[in-house]
Amino acid sequence: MLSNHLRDVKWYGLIGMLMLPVAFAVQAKELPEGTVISASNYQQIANDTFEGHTIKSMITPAIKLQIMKYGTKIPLVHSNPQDVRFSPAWSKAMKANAGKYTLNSEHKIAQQSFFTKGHGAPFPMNTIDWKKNPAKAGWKLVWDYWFASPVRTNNWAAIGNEAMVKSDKGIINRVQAINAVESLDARWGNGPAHTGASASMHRNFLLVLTKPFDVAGIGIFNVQFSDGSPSAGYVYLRSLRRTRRTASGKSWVDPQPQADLLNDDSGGLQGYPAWYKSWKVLGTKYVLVAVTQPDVNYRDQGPVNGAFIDLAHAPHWNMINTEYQPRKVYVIQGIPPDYHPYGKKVLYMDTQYPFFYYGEFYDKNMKLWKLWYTPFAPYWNGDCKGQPGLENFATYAVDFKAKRMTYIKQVFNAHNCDVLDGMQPTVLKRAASGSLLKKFNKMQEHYLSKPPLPQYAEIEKAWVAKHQK
Amino acid sequence: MKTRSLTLSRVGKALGALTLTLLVAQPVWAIKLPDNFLPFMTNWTVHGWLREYAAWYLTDLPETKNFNEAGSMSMNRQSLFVHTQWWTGPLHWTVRARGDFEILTDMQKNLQDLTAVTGNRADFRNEYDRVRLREYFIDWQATSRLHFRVGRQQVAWGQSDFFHATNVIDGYDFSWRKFLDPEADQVRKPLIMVNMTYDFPRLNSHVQMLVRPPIGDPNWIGNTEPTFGGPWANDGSHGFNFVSRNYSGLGVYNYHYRDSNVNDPDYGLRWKGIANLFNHQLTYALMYYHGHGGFYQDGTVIYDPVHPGPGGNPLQMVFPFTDTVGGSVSGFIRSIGSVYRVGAAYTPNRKMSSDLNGDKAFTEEDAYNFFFGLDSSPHLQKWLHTSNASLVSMQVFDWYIPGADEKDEIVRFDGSGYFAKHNIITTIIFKNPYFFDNLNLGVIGMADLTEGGGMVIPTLDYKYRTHWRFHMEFDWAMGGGYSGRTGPGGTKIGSVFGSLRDDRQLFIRVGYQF
Repeated sequence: MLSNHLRDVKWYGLIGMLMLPVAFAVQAKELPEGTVISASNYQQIANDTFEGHTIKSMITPAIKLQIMKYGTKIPLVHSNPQDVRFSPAWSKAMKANAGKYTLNSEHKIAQQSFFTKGHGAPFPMNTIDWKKNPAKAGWKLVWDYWFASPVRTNNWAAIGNEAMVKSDKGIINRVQAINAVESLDARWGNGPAHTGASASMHRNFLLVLTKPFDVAGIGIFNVQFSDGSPSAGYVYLRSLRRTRRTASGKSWVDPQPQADLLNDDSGGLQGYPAWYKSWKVLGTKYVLVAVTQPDVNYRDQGPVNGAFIDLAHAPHWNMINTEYQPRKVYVIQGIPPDYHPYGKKVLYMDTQYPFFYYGEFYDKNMKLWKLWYTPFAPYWNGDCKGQPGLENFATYAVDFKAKRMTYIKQVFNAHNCDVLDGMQPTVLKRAASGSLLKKFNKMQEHYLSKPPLPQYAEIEKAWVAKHQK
Repeated sequence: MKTRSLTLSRVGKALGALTLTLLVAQPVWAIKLPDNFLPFMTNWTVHGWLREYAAWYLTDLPETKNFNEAGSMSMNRQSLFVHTQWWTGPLHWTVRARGDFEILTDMQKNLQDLTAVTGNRADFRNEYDRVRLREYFIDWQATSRLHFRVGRQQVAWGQSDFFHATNVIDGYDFSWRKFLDPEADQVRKPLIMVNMTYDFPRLNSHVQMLVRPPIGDPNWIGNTEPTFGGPWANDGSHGFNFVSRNYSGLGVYNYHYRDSNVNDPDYGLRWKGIANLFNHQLTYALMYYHGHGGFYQDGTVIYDPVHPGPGGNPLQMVFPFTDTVGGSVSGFIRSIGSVYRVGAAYTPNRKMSSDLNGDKAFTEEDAYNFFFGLDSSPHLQKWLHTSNASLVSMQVFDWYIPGADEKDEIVRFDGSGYFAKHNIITTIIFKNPYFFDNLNLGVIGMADLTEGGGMVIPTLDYKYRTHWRFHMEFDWAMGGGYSGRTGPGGTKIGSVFGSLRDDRQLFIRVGYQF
């Protein structure tokens, strides 16, 4: 009897095992390009795959909240490795650093020569073994980003039209800001590695409001240091018409003016990495990123409108007309110091290039607080050196507690332009007078007059035909 | 009377129509005119604001027996400010104009009537109402290092708040707003100047050279005080027309007094740079200026029958030439998380008034200004529930005359008595942002460490979306009482705060910007 019974079990088991792939095939399928992930279909397709990765594995906690609670829709397109490309000179500099640099016990770069003579990212990404030592890998990756992010390059300037949105009211405020960053160390390409006046000068950072009228010139110019010294900060006092020093010791954890971002959140991470208590890689995975938005220099230059944000429907902050493709990322966790408002930052960094697509910021109780997201766009006409690169199409930050969102619509981006070097605190005054905007307008005119890179010629032609007379 | 009410009505209607247009149009940024509007001008933008300024007295003025000022409206002003800029080739043009219109309140009318006591009744609206081009200049970046700004402009030098050590170029118009309006650029009196800046990038420095040719209205020089009377005049003078713009007061402005002739040019230069000492960035500036604002920007009152002013009047407000050298240094002190500011200015042989009835017009003393300030941005979110870091700014400012003796009776520029050797005022600013920095609650405190007395000014600023701005403050002077001695012109001596303590008031500003 028993043997008969066992035989039955064996048969059922065998039949069950044979049926399993069939059942799985019925439940989980590969989704076609054009599939739109939304609250209405998420549960059905969570276990389906796109390019072999399950949907639920590619949806991070904040994105899931956006989809399920706030109605975000995510259209899928196939990935194309060519969509994430940067200047070959950047890769060359990083590769040349193989084996040159190590971390000391304080998780900082041990070799002092790097700060004055090192070019590009200190730790070639293909040499980083995160499984062997997740903490060390975390530190190396954030240093790569901090010294040589390819979406910052040797210098970067941008004009952003900002809108602050409340989930029940729509747009409640608008400002315009200029953001410019000039690397003073780890520069790559043909020029010198270090251009700062003192050995540990790291970069000049400008974030200044240009509109509306009463705030034009209000902002900050910082000189940051690569040894963790507090930044030297300058502000322009508009009604007094003079620039003066500001107490900048902990200003890196302060909110950006009127916005839902901290100064530390620019690019995902702006503060000196070693001011954080720890960094570590939590793993690698595929997530959904936007890297094929239209070149910002070609988009309409007006204030934030409904072209890429669904302003018409609550919560008035969902991105629209944006396509997402799978891309492999490092999931990196940073624990900030006690005086930082966040309990932790989880950042998603490309595995080939050290820059972040988005980040999830948690409060001190480790409850999800903010989502920071940057869709990217290619330079159709190349950067100032004629090389391919990605520019910030927008900066998107949702504060889930305050139910607010800050959207920075980039209307001008320039990378690797010699004319952006040599920033001084007096640049704040030039922002207030409008002459900096004029300079950027001229740079943009010049950019638009350049021929497109061959790979973008058709896209550019189609865009121009559709949007310009 | 009929003419005035007609004019007022027209002005009111015009402002109303403009407001309505702005509200309906709701331009998001600015009025941007089409590039082909005038073919030779590009990037032409127009910004500005329309405002109502209103103030109420909180105390009665003892000097007016016929009127109770407490609770009375002391200011009712409408202002339209227009800022426009455009480019022609490499030249960047800027024009800023402002029109001010005052509707005299009952309190102001009463004070105006009282000024008839000298036989020269003041005309307050003639003093307040103005439509003028305040600034007009051209910027030209001649080379990557050489920049020119030519035209009527404001130039501010130095690192001190409220009071000015090395900032000796432009005077201020306090005739319509004597208290501490933070918008210094709206009360500063621009001058026609050639302003050249040359950068030395390798030295992190630039040199600035200024020349003021004798072009423009002489009364652009120095401070303008409400010496004609009115709510902003010193205690005891609210209904007294001492010197007024139209030369109808007891005394006169004389801009051409002997060697104090404003028809001679002013000039100066400043070297400003950043020194990198290890990882400490130190901002420094050194300056020299030949003008009229060394030590103080106010006029100096003299009595000189031998060289009388306009109309043969010997009692004159003059603006002697001053030569000032000075410097300032600023940096960050890591251990206390604060920025320090320290500065000094030296004006040798500063001509001041000391003996109105004597045979000499001036007394001359070496005069120094010193200041020291500390600014920090404490994180008080946990306790005050603020949305961003607060601001605390402290400053000690000294007007120092080594040779001064109270017996010399050197008249203080603020009309509050005589100079001592050290004349020290300390100030503190404390500001706290709320609601994503759209609301700012602050308090300004001041104290005269030499003469006593002080002032507390609670402030509230609110930004409503892009266009509307609201400001409210209480100006609350206290102490600084009279020492019992009689000062110049029979005034009672106290500190500057003592001279303002009957002027406690609530001030409100509502503005729409475009």
